[in-house]
Formats: sequence, structure tokens, C-alpha cells
Amino acid sequence: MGLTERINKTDKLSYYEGQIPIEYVYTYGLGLEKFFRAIKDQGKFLASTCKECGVTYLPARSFCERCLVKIEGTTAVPGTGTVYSYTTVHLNMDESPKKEPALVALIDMDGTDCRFLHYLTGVKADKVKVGMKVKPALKAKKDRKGHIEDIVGFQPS
Amino acid sequence: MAYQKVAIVGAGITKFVRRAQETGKELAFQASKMALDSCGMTIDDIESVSLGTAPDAFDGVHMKGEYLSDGSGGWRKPYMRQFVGGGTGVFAPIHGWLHVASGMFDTCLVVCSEKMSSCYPHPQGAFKTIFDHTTEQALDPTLIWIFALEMNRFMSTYGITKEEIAQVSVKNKKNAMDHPAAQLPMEITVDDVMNSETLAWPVNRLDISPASDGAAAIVLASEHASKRITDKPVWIDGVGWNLDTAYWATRDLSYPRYVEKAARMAYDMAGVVEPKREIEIAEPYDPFDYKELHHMEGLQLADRGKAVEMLLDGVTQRDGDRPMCPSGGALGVGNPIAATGLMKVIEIFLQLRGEAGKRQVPGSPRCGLAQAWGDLMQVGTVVVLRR
Amino acid sequence: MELDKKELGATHYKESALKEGKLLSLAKQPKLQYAWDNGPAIGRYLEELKEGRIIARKCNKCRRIMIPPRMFCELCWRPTDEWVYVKDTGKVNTFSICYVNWDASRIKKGDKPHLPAVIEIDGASEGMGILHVLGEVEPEKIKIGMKVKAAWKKPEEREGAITDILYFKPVRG
Repeated sequence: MGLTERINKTDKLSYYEGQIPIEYVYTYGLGLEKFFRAIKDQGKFLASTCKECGVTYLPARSFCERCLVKIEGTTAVPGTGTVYSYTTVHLNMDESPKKEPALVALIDMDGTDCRFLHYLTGVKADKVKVGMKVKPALKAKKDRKGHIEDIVGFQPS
Repeated sequence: MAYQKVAIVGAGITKFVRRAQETGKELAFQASKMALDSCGMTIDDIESVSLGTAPDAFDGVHMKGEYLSDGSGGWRKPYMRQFVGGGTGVFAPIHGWLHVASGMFDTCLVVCSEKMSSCYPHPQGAFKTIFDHTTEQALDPTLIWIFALEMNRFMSTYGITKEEIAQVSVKNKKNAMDHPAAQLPMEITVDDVMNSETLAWPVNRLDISPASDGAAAIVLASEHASKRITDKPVWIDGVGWNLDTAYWATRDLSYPRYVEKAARMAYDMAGVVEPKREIEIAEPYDPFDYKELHHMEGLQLADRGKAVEMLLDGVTQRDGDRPMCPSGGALGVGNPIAATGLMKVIEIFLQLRGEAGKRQVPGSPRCGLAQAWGDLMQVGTVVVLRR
Repeated sequence: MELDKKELGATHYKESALKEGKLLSLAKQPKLQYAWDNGPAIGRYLEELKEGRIIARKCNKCRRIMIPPRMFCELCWRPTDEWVYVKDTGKVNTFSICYVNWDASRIKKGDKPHLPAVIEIDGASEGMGILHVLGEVEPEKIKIGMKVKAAWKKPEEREGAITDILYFKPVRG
């Protein structure tokens, strides 16, 4: 049994337009606050290690998701890593073509059990390899705001 | 039907605050960890996780269930997110109950977390899109409209005044003075409520609960598992939930029929025959002061239009015969939507265990109830607890 | 266990802490836009509003005449049967006098408050109401049960929207 009436003429199809006009201000929280402060002020990467299971998280976290216990301290790690996987992005969010394709990679971060999502810089797509060693390129200190884009990207080391 | 009996064996909560520095997942962690610690358990003892959190639009985190899973102890566990708007805080423990009662799991961690402060200019704006997009949103409604319209109809149907209803706010904000998590504990008078800013007549500023950040968590266990955990289990003896039509404007706004149906479902399961006599203490959902009265009637704890008499006679005070919202409720403790409902469950849990501290009601109650309400004014969620 | 404030989480901060940079934060506005399909029921409802008429839908089982119209009856859980024109008059089921905008900002000093109301439409089943606003009335004169009539936009200005009815105004006498 279907509904009794259908719209058969496409010019009878109508819609109503709208949007959800709200915006957001996110605090970073206890863990990320420490991480981004250190990037901004010292150019350092802070990780945190769970005393129960020994897993080292990057960026630093305030608790261990596996053991559900608090993590108190942080330790600095070099910020270097190895490309785990990568992709070449040709389109913007709205599907318009990018002027320059962007290289996006997942990077296994040295001294941690975590991967980082970021851009690759200073390297052509055909030269990128899984397993390639990379190091971070940071903006100049005066331009850093405590934001993920304080890291320009990762470049071959 | 053959259910496993389900007990609440532990509880945790964060402070409720207007703006929390913690992320939503950090709030969830703080409450979850406290709940586990309260009964000497670790996350390894937990077999399933039920998470409750309200609209994604508050946090601006789409798929908030997935986002909050790590703070809620959901890592590599059977994990499920529940959502029925404001009713979520009691819906999540109902789902936790289903997990354990069904025999699928012996333990379940129930977590509710909400971070409303991320939403600008005000979390109220996120509610605009709960209205029908074509026939209602075009009129530029605010959330307060529907409450104001319902409150007006409730008042005019039964001849209740704003001054009378204001006493709920006075009572609950005062009760909250003794709640360690409270955001808006206050000693105020009916005049203070009446003289506070009129937002949408008949609703004034002090008739409304605040926007809040916060989290709450409880640990559920089957009967045999509970014996290893605590000698003071509080049993979830009845659960009920029910939704009315989304065409809210066509309903009788003076009476929440869906709350009645949810309550009757829970009472039948718990063997409660005379709710007025058997439910000794309750936490009806009170995001607005009139809602406490409205819900008491839906819950069959008062006759229609008569809850106000119990209020005026002092029956619903913490030291009265039938204490309502002894915690301080959403009006006093605060209203981080989903966490509020679970805060109410925790309050009844503590009251029945005699562990409510300064908030403890006299008479060592054995049977109580927590209720939440939400979606487009259409859902009722109820749990009946006994020790 | 008893709750102890010292042991409870959540660290409160003041909004100014973000502006002063004491706490890091990130502002973001998701730019999402939608085009909601009207479907047969609301599509016809809006077309009729453009013509200055209000149309409802009837279920022949429960005999309810429903507004806004819908292609299925949520009570009988079956398709509805007939289109029925209803009047553009009705009575106020409930109302509010609202000084707050949708985003919780306050209306400007001296501006008239919003007057939302549930209007029970004449010709639809008892209690069938829609959300709309009241106009051409002093807020203090509004009463529950008051008879009202739709004030329409000029035909050439109508666009097939609920706002083709500007507001409902009191019926004299």
C-alpha cells in the first residue's frame, strides 16, 4: 500500500531553503591545551604516556582511552616520523579544483604510538614514498597562534 | 518476561558549569572514572557502554557519539549512543538496563555528557532547527516559544498563577545549595522570579534552567555481578519511554499524555499500583519551573491541575511527604541536557542508599523515580528505582 | 559514597579568558545550507497558501481533518484520503509575548515583542492547531479562545510559504 498521491510532474516539485546559522568556539581541553601551548611557545611536540598500559599518545591527552585512567604529565618527542600513507588532493571542499594539488599524509610519530594527519611540504608527489622519514616545518614563532596550522607541514628529513 | 535484575552499583558526576575548559570527552572521562572508582571497578570490568548526549548542534561535533566514545570507556567495546533530546539522560540508563536485563551483558557503563558552551551566539540558537523547516522555522521561532505556549495553556486550563509556579524555582534553586555539582544554587523569593527579565511571557529569566557543560555516569550490574561489587545495590525495577506526535501544536498542551504512558509502562514493570503512595521521592524533569508540576501530573503523582496544591502545601519540599527534585533539579544544579537526566537518576540512587549528605530526605525512602522529557515536547522517559 | 565538591571535575572559565588568550580556543562556522523537499502534502499546502487558501487533509478512518496536511495519518498509520479546504479563521489555543530572538538576543528597545500563538483553524478537527504569530493586537488584549483571522500578504508578494500569512489578527465583534 503506497501513499495515495504522487508528484508526477517534476515542475511541481518544490523545496524550501534554509540553513543553521550558528557558529562554534571550541576550547582545546586539558590535554590539547598543553600540546598547542608547547607548539606555540617552544616549538615542541608534547606527548603523554599512560602509566597503566604504556601507550604514548600524541597530541598529549588528559586520560587514557584504553585504561580509562588519568594521565598527568607530558614528555617532549622530536616531532619526526615516518609516512604511513598519503594521498594527493586535487579538489577543494566545494569540489572546485585546487591551484596546486596538496599532499596529505598520515605520519607515524617517533617515540609515540600515534599517527598524525597533516600536509607534506617541500616534496613532489612522485617523490613521496610510504616509509619516508619526515620532520615538521613550523611557522616562525611570532606567527604561531596555538593552532594546527602553526605546523606548515612535514618535509623529508 | 524473564529479565535479569539490574542494579545501579556506582555513580559519578562533574560539576555543572556554564563554560568548562574540558572537552566533552574529558568531561565524560571525569564522570566515568568517578563512577568506576565509586564501586572499585576498572574499565576492564565493563562489558558494554551506553552513551547519552543531546543534539550534535550544541557541540558542533557531528556524530558526537563516536567523538565521545573514548572518554566514555567505549574503546573496543559494544558501545551505543542514545538520543531523544532532553529525554536522553533517562533514556541512556534505560538502554543500559536493556543491555543487562536481556542477559547479553553483566555490566554496563552509562555515560551522559554535554558541552553546550561551544555554541554561539547562544546554545538556544541550535534549537531553531528542531522546528519543522518549512511550516515553522520561517516564523523565526525560539525554543522558549514552545515552553511559553505550553506554560500559558497549562496555567489557563487549571487557573494556576505565575506566582504559584515560581515557587518551584524558589524550592529547587534552594535545594541546589546543598548539591556539590550545582551551577545555580540560590536563595531567592517568588518576587525575585517575578521581577526577573520577561523573556517570553509567561516565562521569566528565573523560571528557566541555565545552559551548562557537564557529565554524569552510572555503573549497572546484573544481580549476580552486583554481589561482587556492592552490598548496597539500587535496583532499576521499572523502565518506560514513550513518544507523542511531532505535530506538537495539535496536542493537548496542558497534559503530557506521553509521560503518563511512559510512567504506566514503568509502574507495570515495577509492580507499582498506587504511584501517589508508593513513589516516595521523585526527580521529575524541570528545565522550566512549570514542567515539574506538569510532569508530576503526567507521572500520576498528582491529580490533573493539583500538583500546584502539593507545592503550596510544602509536600514537595525536601522535608515534605513527597520530595520533588531534592537535588535542586535542572533549575538549580544546571541543565547540561543529557547529563541532567542522569544526574536525577544519581540523586535517587544516593537518596535510596542514604548517601545524599545534606540533601538526604527524611524517612529512609525505599522507592523513587527519575524522569526526563524532550524532543519536540514529545518524549517521556522514566525509571523506577528501589533498594 | 557521598558527593564531594573537591573531587568533582569540570573547570569553569570566564568567556573573557578566551579573548585574553589565557585559554586557547578555535572559532568555526560550519557553512551548511539545505534545500528541504516539500513532498506532496506540504507542497500543496504552500501552493494553496500562495492562492490565499488553507488546505488540510482528511483521514476517512479517524475522520480527523489535519493541518498542516500530511499524506499519512500518524494515529491510524494509514494513507490519508482527501484534500479539504479549511477556513482562514480560528481561535487562539495558547500564546506568548516574547522579547527574545531566535538566538537568545533581546529585541531592540521600543520594538514590538514577538507574539507566537497556536491557532486552532476553523474547519479542521477540534484542537488541530498550527504555530503562527499574532498581529494588529495589543499584547495585553490577547486572550486564550480569542477569534482570529489570517492577514495575508498581497497576492503578488506571496511566494508559497507559511509567511504568506503575515499574522493572525483579532476578528471584531
